[in-house]
Amino acid sequence: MSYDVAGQSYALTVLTPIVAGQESALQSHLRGLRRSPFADAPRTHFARWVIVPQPAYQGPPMRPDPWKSQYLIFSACLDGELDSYLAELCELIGPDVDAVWRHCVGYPGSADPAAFARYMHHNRIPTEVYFAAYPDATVAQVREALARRDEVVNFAVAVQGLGNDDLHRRWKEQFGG
Amino acid sequence: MGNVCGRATAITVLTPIRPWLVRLSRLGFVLPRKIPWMTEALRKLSFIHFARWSFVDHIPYNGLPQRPEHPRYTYLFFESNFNGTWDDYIDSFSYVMPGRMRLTWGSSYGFPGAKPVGPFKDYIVHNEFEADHFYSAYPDATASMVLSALAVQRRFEVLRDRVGGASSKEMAIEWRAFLRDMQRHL
Repeated sequence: MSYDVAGQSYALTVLTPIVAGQESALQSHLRGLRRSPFADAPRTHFARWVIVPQPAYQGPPMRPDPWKSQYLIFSACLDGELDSYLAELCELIGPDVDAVWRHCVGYPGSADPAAFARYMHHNRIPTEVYFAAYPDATVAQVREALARRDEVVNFAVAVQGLGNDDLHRRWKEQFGG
Repeated sequence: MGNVCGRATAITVLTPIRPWLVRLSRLGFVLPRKIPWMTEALRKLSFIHFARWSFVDHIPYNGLPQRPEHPRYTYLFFESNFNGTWDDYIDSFSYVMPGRMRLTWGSSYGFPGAKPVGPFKDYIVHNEFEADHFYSAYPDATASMVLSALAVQRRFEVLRDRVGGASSKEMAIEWRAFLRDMQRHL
């Protein structure tokens, strides 16, 4: 059973090994992004890339557990099912994701969407518990609702104190019908 | 700062679980799936957009030059997308749901308990990784704003249906009813 889903929302977590010696270049690239590529991937609510040099050591009685590579965590809260989302990443922001994952071992590139999807699935970390405050709302619906709320607030302020006829006229002007 | 995008903040935490408590830890995550009130507590915190927990019990091998990994421990991965400050977030977890925090991280090495909050914050800082890139599709909106906007949108559609073809008097009555119903969301 999959616990990656809440409502229509999907939690994707991917852990990929960074090619030794390319950690700094990857970090510079990620930290230098002026505009997020996910702005062009419209099913993405939230996304992050995080470099994990090593998990933290807690001291005894824990024994040191050094990992042999540094890893890149990618996570996203996305609308709908995973495979079509991965295909969209290739189609809409392929060069952007290539510029990141080309620093990771075994990355096949976005030019081959099937290979890209296999790579993401191979390195996916399943979710144990996924919490979504508004699991049924897509990015488009959230944005539309936020714009509607602003519109309604502005309208409510503008029509304060108006009589019924003027209120109705302003309503029709603003919202039609 | 990598962890901030507008009003949204990211937190990413990875902690090693004591081997003999891995099964118990997994059981601790069955409960929130079975008992809605446990995730309802998160909902009541009202400043969390999305959060997740995962177990990292193996690291996939991708061929050379990656060297195969055989981690000694299973790790608990936690991430959250929330609004507000990091301090307020950890304070809330500590004060509102310390039992849930113990259930979550009690199996991990070094967990000092959720109270007092000082050592708990130190523990999170020690095990946290700063995001190198963080994106929010609606960076100016808090989780409460999104929930309110969705409520307004639903009620607005009802209003629009009701006032279609209505007289001015009927329309005004419906509009006032809408404002009354949506007062706390506007």
